[in-house]
Amino acid sequence: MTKQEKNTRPEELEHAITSEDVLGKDVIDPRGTFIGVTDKLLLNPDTMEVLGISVDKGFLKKGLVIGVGHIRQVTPHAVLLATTPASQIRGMSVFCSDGTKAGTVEAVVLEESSNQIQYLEVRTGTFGNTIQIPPGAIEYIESNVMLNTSPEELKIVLQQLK
Amino acid sequence: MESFIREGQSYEDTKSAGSLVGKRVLSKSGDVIGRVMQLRIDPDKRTLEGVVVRRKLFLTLYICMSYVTRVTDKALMLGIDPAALFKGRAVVSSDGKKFGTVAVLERAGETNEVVRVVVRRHLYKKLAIPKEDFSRFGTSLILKRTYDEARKEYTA
Repeated sequence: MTKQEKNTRPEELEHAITSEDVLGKDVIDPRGTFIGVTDKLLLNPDTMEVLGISVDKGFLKKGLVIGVGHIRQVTPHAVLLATTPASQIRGMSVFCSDGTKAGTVEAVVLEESSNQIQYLEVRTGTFGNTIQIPPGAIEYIESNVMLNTSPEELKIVLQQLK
Repeated sequence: MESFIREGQSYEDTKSAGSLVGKRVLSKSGDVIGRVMQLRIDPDKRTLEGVVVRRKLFLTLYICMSYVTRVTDKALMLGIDPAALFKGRAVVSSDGKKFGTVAVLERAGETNEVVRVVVRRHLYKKLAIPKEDFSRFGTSLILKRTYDEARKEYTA
């Protein structure tokens, strides 16, 4: 018995999509932000399981890899993500709870092999220092990063982490 | 400083109105709307009714105080994302295809409650879509219908 006869039912093949259905499609996050275009499909060479996609973000921009667990749906027009990639946070402004601008996100450091934030590297001012903001200090992230601490409370949090 | 107070807050619990001018105004999503340009007072009730926000050089918005959730020394924080922010954003179908661009947001009176979104499909074609037909107002406005469904429903 061949591997195909063992593992694939005809009805599954009817609903299967091909790499052509995925490659070259817009990748869109839940907020409707255009992330990039899929340029590669990533497979496990032993199990042939789909691991994820590689996304081309544009000329001179570093691409990113998105695991299949973060993909909500593949439609005829786009690949819709279930979550916003952490890389989208880079460049956002960071505001304290009183509206003070704490800085700009320079880098997003993730927990190993996940989309969970370990900390944000934030540059305070054009030539300022870089501080590391833990996820516990973040109230929410939408258009920018909104913290749940005032500037004074943030200083205390940062000192406690040292 | 000597105070004369019959009712209301003490001097220490209030802020200088003048100090608000020039302060940053942040929307609920964290967008920087602009800076406070003017404070507007009801001359009869003697209350602060709203603020004029300068968005760009000649573009201003008037926002009433009931939409302001917090006033700090650094900023005015709003409890809304003003509908004006969504003008020009893409309208995308539920299956991820661009359907058009937001031309106008029709609101209930002068409130921030959007009733209809006028979408520009092509250079010369606009159509009005009820707010209930959108699942999300984010970086793009996302329709509940797929592209083909939306085309049949709104352009028929």
